[in-house]
Amino acid sequence: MLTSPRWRGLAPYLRLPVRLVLSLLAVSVLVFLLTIAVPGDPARAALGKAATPAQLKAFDAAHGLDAPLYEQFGRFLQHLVLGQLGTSYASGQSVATAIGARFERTFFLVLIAWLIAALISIPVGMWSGRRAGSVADSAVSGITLGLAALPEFVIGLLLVFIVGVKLGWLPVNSTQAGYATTPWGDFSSYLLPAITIALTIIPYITRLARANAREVDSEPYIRAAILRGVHGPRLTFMHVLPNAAPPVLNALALQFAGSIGGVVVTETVFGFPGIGQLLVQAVGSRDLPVVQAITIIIGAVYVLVNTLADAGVRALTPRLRPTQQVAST
Amino acid sequence: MKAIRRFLAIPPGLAGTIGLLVILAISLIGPAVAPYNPDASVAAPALGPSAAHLLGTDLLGRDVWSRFLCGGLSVIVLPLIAVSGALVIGCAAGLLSGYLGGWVDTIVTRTVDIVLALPPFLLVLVIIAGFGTGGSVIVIAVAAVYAPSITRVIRSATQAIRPREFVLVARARGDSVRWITLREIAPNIVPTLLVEVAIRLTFAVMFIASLSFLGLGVQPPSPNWGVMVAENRDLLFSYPLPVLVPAIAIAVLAISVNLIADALTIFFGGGRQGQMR
Repeated sequence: MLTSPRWRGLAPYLRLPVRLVLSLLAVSVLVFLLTIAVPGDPARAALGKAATPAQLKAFDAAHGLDAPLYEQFGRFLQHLVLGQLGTSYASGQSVATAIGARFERTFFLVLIAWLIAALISIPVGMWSGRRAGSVADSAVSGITLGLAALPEFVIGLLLVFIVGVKLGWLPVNSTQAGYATTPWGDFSSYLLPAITIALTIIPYITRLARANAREVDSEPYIRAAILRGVHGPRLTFMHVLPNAAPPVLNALALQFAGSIGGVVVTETVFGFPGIGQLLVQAVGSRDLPVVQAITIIIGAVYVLVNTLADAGVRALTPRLRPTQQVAST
Repeated sequence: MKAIRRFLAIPPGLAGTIGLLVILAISLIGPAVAPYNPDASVAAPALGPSAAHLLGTDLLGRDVWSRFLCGGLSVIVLPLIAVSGALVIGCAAGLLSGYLGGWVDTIVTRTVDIVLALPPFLLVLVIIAGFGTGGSVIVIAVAAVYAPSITRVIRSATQAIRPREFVLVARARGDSVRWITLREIAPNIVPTLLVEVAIRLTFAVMFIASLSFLGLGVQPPSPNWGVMVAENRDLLFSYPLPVLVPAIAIAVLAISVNLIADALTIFFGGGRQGQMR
């Protein structure tokens, strides 16, 4: 990024914050451009075809849509910084109120999904990576390959079909989660959506853990450990795991924010009252303040988590520090 | 021919090709052999499967089998157009920035970095919120979101080819930038390109089907597998075929393309590890 020699010494420390600010700015510019890009009139879209010119004008004035663009962008940024997210075109409700509880539910949903994914994919990936080429390893590879190519809504509906319809176990509709903002209030409505999201993360992490375990397994120091008589779980957990873990942890961290697509689809499949479901509704009805607010929040979380994950992994593994970021394609 | 036979000798290549051909056959021949008009209400709503209606009828009394036969084309064609668009932009930007370097490269890589720092799903939703739902909007949105990652791959492949002798000779001859990039460099990055296209296509198929399922892509009443899954969801509890058949067809398509991507990676010597995102 920063190429002039004078800056090179500082670059590693500046890169992350600079990228963070740039990405956040990119999100807000993009989200703002969206307001201008709208063909036709947001007022017309919100008030319907029967609205009179006077009503349209009043709507524009109320939402500041009659000011020049630079002024609108300035006010937009100012409001963002102050945390004023505006009011929904569709419901007239304050966007902050509409989002608050939903955000909490989505956070817990993703957290549960993420824990399930981590607990399954890392052990399975390591296990199969250390048996590369065996029947069990091929089976794991086949399953992850298939899972990776299944769209979230197909996974979700298949789960509903198998667990809800065939077995009749769990509630297949999570609308009740609306009464509890935390999973311990109503765990069962969190479970199936969380498993669905986990199933979209698992193939990716498993494959990565497998590849890393396999790579570390062929390192001289592992062979040395084996020759010293280290074997079994001790070899896996004390020698292979610490060396194979950092890239996997990094990818896992990225998945926390990166699974947003899966979250949006999954919440819609299960009627889970989270932020993703609201986002789809708002995009469908072009409720711009809501879309803007959610996009900026998710974008910020995504950028932040990614930045922290990068920094964390670099701190964990000294040998990654100098040139590793160049190697990415 | 020999290359094709060698490709089909790779098990995932064979499986993927068969799956893709089956889905292609259904989508291309389907509309011609559909027994009923896919958009017309032809019987009582929500009938179970019968001889007259192989998969039953949906909540509007439309024949599910006919809708299934007609609903595959857009599931395949829209991702193809989107990825082709992304490919054209990505190749142009990647070849130029990789070959020219300098300020062109700086601008391109900065733009790519910023776009790739955001989740693609979010970008596409923002574009849809701005320009409205529909097939053409999602094709443009998905193309715009995938172009940067293709650019990045093409750029690094181009940089690897640039110092080779035949490029230097062409420059010494005074050949134009267009000739050098398209005739000297491009043919050498075809393997990288094919693998990347196959990977992108897998994502695009899943992505666009999901958008249609969410009601943001292909709009009902068009017969489309994604739309069908969404509109028949309430039938899942009484009889599941109208949901499961299109859902499984989408899955078979996505898995086949994914297998082909994997096989291409093996075919070209595994230069790029099978990556998933």
